[in-house]
Amino acid sequence: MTPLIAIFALLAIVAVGAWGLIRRNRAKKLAEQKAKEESERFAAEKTIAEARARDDARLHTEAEERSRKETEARENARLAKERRLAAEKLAAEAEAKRRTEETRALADAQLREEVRLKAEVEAKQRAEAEEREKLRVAAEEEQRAEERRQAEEKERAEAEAREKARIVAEKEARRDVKEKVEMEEPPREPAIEAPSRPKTPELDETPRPPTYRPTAPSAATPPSRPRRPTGSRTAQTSNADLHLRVQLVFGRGGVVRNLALAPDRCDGMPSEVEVTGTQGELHLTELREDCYEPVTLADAGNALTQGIEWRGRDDARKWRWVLGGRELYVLAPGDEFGLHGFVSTARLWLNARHVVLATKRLREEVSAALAEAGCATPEMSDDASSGVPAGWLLFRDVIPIRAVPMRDERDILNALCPAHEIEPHFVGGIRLERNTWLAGYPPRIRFTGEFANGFEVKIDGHLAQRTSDGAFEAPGWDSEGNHRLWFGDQAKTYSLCTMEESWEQWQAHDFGTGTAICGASTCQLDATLRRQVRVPITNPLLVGARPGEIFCCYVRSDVRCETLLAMVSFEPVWALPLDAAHVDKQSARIVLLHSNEPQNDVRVPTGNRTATRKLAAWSAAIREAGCKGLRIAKEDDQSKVLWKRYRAVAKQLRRKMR
Amino acid sequence: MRPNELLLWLSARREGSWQQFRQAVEQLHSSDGEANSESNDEFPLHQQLRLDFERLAHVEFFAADCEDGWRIAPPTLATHSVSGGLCGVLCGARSPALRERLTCSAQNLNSEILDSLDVPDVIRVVATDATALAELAVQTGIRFQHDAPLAILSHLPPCDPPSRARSPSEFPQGADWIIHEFETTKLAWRKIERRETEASHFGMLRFLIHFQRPRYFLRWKDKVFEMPRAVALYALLRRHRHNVLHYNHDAAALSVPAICRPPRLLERALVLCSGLPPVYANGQLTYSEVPPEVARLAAELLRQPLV
Repeated sequence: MTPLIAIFALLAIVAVGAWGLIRRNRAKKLAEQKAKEESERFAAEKTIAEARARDDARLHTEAEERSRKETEARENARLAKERRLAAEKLAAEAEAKRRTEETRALADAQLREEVRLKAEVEAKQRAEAEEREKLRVAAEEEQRAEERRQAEEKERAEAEAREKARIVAEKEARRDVKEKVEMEEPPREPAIEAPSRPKTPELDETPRPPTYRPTAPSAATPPSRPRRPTGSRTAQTSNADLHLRVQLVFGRGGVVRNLALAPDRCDGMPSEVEVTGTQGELHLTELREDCYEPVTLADAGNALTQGIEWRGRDDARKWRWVLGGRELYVLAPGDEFGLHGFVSTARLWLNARHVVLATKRLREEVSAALAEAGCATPEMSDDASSGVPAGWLLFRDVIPIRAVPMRDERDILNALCPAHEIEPHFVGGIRLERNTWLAGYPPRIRFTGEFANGFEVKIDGHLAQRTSDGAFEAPGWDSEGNHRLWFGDQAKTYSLCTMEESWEQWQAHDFGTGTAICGASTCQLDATLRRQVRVPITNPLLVGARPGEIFCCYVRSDVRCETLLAMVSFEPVWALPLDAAHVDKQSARIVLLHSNEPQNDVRVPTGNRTATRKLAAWSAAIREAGCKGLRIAKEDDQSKVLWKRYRAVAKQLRRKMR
Repeated sequence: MRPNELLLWLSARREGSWQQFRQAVEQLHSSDGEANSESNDEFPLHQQLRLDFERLAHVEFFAADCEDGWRIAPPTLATHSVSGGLCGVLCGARSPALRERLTCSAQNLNSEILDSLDVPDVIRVVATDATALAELAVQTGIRFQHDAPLAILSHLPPCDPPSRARSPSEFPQGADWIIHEFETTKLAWRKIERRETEASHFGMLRFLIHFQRPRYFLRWKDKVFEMPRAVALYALLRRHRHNVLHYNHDAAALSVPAICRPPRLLERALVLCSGLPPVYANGQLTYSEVPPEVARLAAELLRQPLV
């Protein structure tokens, strides 16, 4: 039993031990599990804590970022607001300025408008006043013309009455004598009456060839004196008749050099126009705005007698130039028309020199008419003289001094009855504009017409005196400025002005050499100020006083020349051979151009390769010429010393540049 | 005609059209009346005056900036070397005041005024050195051009035939043209028919039509080139080895046949040697007081030997 008990005991002990062990292991496992769970829990808690901390940090960062952004946004908003305010302020200022300017512009415009309106009103008033004045003058002139006409008619009527009475008396006397003779002598052959002068026919309706319509006496006739063309001539439309003026030019020895026709020209007419007519086809070229170039007249004898008609046209217009055929032409000094020589006019002018062309048939009548007008015996040439048309006579130096009333009918000889109207003439001088002459070269002021007793001329209020050449002068009449001329009841103005001396040079001729020619001078195309230097062609390398002043002249290859003319930007001192190291020492020379001392205070620039190269070239050119031992062209002590100084400066410069 | 007044008018107006020039000539000429009427029966007065004013360097005609007319050149004292110093010739615009200033300032120098019926008064001043003339120009308020003849010649192209790169021209079409060919042996123009224009490989042709400027063509190696008259003529003379230039060293006078008038700027350089236009006698134009150096350079440009 005991073993069993022991066994049981042992079993019990083992069981207890095993139970304890199991219990302890279980407790240990539980502890380990608990520790593990505890550690896991701690780890989880730690992780959570870390995550929370990270979250907190992130949140903090986000909060800070948000806060920064908000701050920036606020700042931006503030800046934007400030900018907006500034912009608004500027806009307001601009607007205010604009409004101010608008207001000012408006005020100016109003002011200008007022001034314009005022000027218009003044101009209108002035125009009205001038119109009234013109009307008054016209009325006065008309009244005077009417008075003259009435006086002339009265005089003519009286003359006619006297003539009729005289004729009646003569007839009575002749009848008495005849009756006596018939009673005392046997009847004889009746006397042959001299043929009466044929009257020039009226202008034909179809002017081919055109015929001249002589001047007829009429008080209402406007002054026959042709006015200088004003330049503001009315534009011709179509089929308008234009004049052909006869121009006669004398050559040396008083022979007729040229007889030509000067065609009229109006506004809007072409500068060149082809015409056809009795002289064939012609090409007219503009001489000035109112005249084409005179065309030499071929077969002048017949053309002057039969008349001339030219026709021209462009795309839309037609023109017709007419010279009425006649047997008598009166030619006045051409300066009145701006042409040289003598130019045809309607009538003689008193106290002016004329030339008269007449057919041989009218010799006696013309001579008598000229004598009646007080012309001293004029010099007469027939067609044997050079230039006088065949069948015509030329009377020159015709100066009428008496007004002669016209004949009753349309008589060609009325052209030899000088007009009595007084007309001023501005002759000669240097005319710059219409009524403006160059000071120092004023025109001579002359008058033609019949000077009544007490005829006075005033210039700027001073009484003008007649000089030996027939012109009128008054104190200060030729001084610079505007002048007013009074004569009779008329007034005219003229001005004298000085010349402004502001002539500019320009590139008139450029042949691609870099230099242009204008007049007698040359000018650089790049407009830099340069001086002209002339050197022998063997010494094209120019060196100045300042190191770096070196210039190589361009030597033309297309022509051989002995010297070179170069435009240099500095004053050259020496002219050296181009390659002094390899020239013939016996013939090559150094040429001294100007005795300027060298400048040795030059610093070698750093970083400026061009300047450095020029310094090196300047130094090398002098050193090479010096080392070669070239002589100076016109050598003397001063030039030798100067050349030594230049060599020294070149040597010094070379050392600096090492 | 009074050239002094015409020069004053041109100076006052500064520039204008060819028609205005002709009108001025006509108006100033008209003031002369009968006594001083045209003397040259062959050449129109306005053309003669244009040539004289142009070669005396007073006015530029048909140049740049005045292609259709004229423009006055600025007043310039153009100098050239003479024995014993330098001679300055007044060229370009002038006013009465300017002339007065110049004559007053030049009282201490050797000055002279040569009056002529055909050209404006030639005002010349001689000094021993250039400085005196330069100072005179400054005092008068005018430009100073040293060695004017050489300066002009130095910038002129020679009278060479057209280069190969130049594109040829064509003769004008139409039956109205009158055609002449220049004969280098006779130095004269000969009228030819149109079909003859293609006959020669080398030649100079002149095409004329009523009231228009003549056009000159150089026929060179079967091609046709429209060229200035003088350039074409001297190119042809060189081709035929015809020498027309003569220089009298003793009298310093350069002469050419009148029909072989040099190009206008070259002629200006020759005229500026004396300030006087060339003298026409026996069909020759003679330029006086031309220094040998100027004559040699002019001959080089004309491609002529100096005989």
